[in-house]
Amino acid sequence: MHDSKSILLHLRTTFGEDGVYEQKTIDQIPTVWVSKNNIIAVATYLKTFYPLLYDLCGVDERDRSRKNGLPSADFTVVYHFFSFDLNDFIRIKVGLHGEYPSIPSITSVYVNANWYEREAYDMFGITFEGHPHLTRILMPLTWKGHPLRKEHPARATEMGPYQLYDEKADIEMEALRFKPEEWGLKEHSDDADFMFLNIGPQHPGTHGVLRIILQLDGEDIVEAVPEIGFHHRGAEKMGERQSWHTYIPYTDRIDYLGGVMNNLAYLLAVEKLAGIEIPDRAKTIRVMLCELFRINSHLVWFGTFAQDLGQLSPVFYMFTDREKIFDIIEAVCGGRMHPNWFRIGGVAQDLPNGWDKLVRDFVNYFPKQLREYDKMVMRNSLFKARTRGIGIYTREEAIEWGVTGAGLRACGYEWDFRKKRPYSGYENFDFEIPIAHNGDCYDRAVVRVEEMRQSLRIVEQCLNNMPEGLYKADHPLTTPPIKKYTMQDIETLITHFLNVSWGPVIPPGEAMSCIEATKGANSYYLVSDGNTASYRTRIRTPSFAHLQMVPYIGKGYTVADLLSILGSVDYVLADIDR
Amino acid sequence: MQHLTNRAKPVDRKPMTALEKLYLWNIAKGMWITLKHIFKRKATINFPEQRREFSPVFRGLQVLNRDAEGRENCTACGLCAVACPAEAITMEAAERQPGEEHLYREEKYAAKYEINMLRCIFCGLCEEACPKDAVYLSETFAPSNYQRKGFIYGKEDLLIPHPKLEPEAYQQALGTRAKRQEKASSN
Amino acid sequence: MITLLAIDWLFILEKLILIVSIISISLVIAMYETYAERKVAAVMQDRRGPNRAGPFGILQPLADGLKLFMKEEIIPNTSNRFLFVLGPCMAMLTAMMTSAVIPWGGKIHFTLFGADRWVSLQIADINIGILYIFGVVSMGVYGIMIGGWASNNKFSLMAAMRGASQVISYELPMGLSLIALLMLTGSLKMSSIVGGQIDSWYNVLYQPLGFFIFLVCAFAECNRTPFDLPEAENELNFGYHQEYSSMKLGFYLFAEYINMFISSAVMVSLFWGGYDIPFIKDANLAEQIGYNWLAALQGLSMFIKIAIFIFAFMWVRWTIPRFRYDQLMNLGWKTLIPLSLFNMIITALVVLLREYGWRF
Repeated sequence: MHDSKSILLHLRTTFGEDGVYEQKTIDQIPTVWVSKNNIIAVATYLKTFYPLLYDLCGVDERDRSRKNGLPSADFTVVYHFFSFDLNDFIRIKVGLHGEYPSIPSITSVYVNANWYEREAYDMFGITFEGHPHLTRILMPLTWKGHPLRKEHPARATEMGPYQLYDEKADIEMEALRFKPEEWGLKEHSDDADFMFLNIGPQHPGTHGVLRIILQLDGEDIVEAVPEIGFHHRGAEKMGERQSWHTYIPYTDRIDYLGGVMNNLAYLLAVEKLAGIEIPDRAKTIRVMLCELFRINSHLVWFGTFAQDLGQLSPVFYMFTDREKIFDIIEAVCGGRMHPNWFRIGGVAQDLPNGWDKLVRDFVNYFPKQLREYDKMVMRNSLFKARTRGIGIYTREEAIEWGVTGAGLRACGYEWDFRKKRPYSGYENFDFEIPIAHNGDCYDRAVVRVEEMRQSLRIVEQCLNNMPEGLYKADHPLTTPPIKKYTMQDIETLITHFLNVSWGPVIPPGEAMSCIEATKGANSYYLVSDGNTASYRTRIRTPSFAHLQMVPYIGKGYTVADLLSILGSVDYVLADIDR
Repeated sequence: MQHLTNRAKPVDRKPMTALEKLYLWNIAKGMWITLKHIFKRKATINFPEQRREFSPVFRGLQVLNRDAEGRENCTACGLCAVACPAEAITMEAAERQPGEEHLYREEKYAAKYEINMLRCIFCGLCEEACPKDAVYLSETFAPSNYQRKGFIYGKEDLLIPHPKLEPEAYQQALGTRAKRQEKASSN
Repeated sequence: MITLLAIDWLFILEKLILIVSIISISLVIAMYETYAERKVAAVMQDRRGPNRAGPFGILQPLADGLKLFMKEEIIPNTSNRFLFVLGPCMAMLTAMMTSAVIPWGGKIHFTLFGADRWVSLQIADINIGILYIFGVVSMGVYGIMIGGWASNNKFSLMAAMRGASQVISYELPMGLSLIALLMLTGSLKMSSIVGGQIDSWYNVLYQPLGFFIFLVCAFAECNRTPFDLPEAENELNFGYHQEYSSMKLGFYLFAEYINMFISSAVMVSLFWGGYDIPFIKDANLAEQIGYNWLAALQGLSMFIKIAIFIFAFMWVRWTIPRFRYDQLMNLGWKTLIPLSLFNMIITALVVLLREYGWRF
């Protein structure tokens, strides 16, 4: 059995001591610097053990202080690979030099590197040699500069007033025109003319501003090209501007159906860096809220999925139930979709009086509703006819394309980060991982429906076993510090002042969290250089990977099937574009 | 199929039977459900006439607080402004002059205090930051307006009514939150 | 002069009044169908539905109509203007024309200038009534096709193609199911089909399968869920009327609702006894209250039956998902056509055996 140590050893012996540098990081993920020329060989070697390219991102290292003896580099490209067998990540870093450096593309090894490399190019201007179609992906094609480079302004007020004169409008319009040749698409086949159809950016079936360009033969999809970025808000750039504390509300808005789940993913990474141990009560509160949000998100998905297939009523029933969850969330957090409720070191407030009654009522109420939806939607034969055997992928394909979450479990692969790499106390809960075997739209739906039941079980366990104790850690970096001391002693008041104004100073280092979010694995990879704001915030979202796969699984089906596939993939555009 | 643990729960997936392929039976069942819903209680409310109750911690429009004597709590320390992720709060501080003790609780007070409600994301970090309990988020929504400048709330919009001079308005501004808190404490 | 006098001017006047009243009734019904649709959808979805315009929102259709009239009329500049305008007109026209052969009630009797006059509540009692309906309904697809083509929009075009093939495919089983019915009634004339059911068993008892096939096809012909592929809003952005605005859009929407009304009326007439008042001998009732009152009650009975069908249309729409295009075609060609052929053969056999004196 290989483990990460032997793999490191092998890398060292193959590529020499000089080419391989091992970095210690706080999150215990083996981190290895390799040289640019070796990257394809390294990736090829790693693929046998680490079949999933989990994430790929760039870092602009030029302004970084406190490197603690890391190899010098102007830019780095950071690869995160994941191994299911070892149940471990490996982080490969490649240091690059120069203003606009280049690096060989690994798309030939990992197909899903495609979009990630395009993103890194878009954000940093790093060229990936050998990439099949290296264009901007999130920013408009006409954009000047690469936003995540440190010299790029962070906000509009730094860029002077925006003007859209006629010529510019024409250029922008022209840039939006789809040119099939650029994508290697043909307008004609031997015996047919193809039709190019824009699904979106404004289309009721895309659940947001997403454009999918379809090459159609009749109603059959020959090729699909998704265009994303319409919802891009520069969340990663904002992470470099906001303090560690004031970035929390922004995370709410990444997967806006996941609510506190985003807070959790972010804070787990921050707390790793800060070395804060979370009290049990805070952990359990977090888990309860997360699972409520999981049900919430799945309800939205369920309703809209049925609606995509033309069944218009269930979405209303589900939104009614969702409203019941929101009542709980509002009573606890004060917010609804954007609760902004977790804090560095715990949660904002303790649970209110009477929370248990609210949750109890819901736990008793919801199973009956789920049974009704089962009858109305899942067992409806028309629904089955529209979803079974549509959008199939196998487990290998899923891993190849970086699919996580329910999409992976629907192919019969029992992988849930809550179980396999427990965080925030999930190891203490009793729940099952629903799996299905065919990997089609229907199975993805079945898995999610069952997940709601499991989440409800977790909520019930939280309800019955809520531990006593602090809702916030007693740690100097907890932000803001526990309020009851704030007014008592000057020490805490000063910490309070510093932490909420400048923000807490998080020790230098790197950490990545990984949680099972509503849609799949969500991660925040944070680089701190010992400041009040993060040096680099990288958000790995599940929707990005899942949408990348849609053209692959959508080929050969009809337009109507594409809508089922899009519905079953369950993405949120804000989660894709960040 | 690979089972890594015995914890996995395979979900039901039988092939469609011939009866199911006729679609009829399941359609009838679905129609029975929708029919039942006709007689259910309606989930929606008639909004402008009826309003839903907000939870006591709901984060709506900000309110600048006064103490029991009607003095403004705010000491213009600026913590809320720097804590605000959206940078929606601006303020100008002024020294309290002798004879103004009945107006301001602290020696320094906010001469100008503005919140841009278009920027505000109602995250509640200002309330959390405030060491003087001077600003909190109420259970009111931001009302609509015809102009952008109508969303920049000044002190006159934000300050809670004077508890002594306008006790009724003050009670109203406290909203159901205060009543419920009283109820909770009396229980 | 002699020839002019020979024309029964009163007859023409009667018919004109009838035509105007039926058209206005259809329009009002179509208007209130939109209201009913929204209200039915609302109550099925635990909502309240329109309740602002007038008590219970009863004036909502007027407000909607007014809104449609006031909206800016947009004709895309890449479209074929003539056809673009023709499309909704065709849809509206064909929707309206079908009502001509449907008998809405019994005969009205009155005396004028000392002469007894009997007026039947049917615009034209032509002897090929059913064929006429078929002819006109199949013209309806031109409205969709022309509109979708003229919009010069890919979504509209796809929707129009779907609509055309769907309507044509479903006319086959519809016609086949009717042939079985015709074997029983022995007439194509609407009035005699209805007349045969008055004070006797309704055709649906003889032809349950035929009725069922007809019902499914009626859903398809009206482009209602689960066959609403031409306007599948989640796939094709409301399909063929995507580029339409203002009253031209209104025409399409109205045409759809009138179609629903008329097809309900056809189903009632063919299978559910038309204007017959169920459980009561109409002839006896006539002796008690007179023919005019009877005709009014019969009309009412007809409309109640129609309302039930319209409700069923809506009920189905808000319950089930829609088919995919190939599934729709499979259902039409591979299920419904064989079923209706089977139904036809069985009916033919039974009719034949009865002629040879078999008793059942």
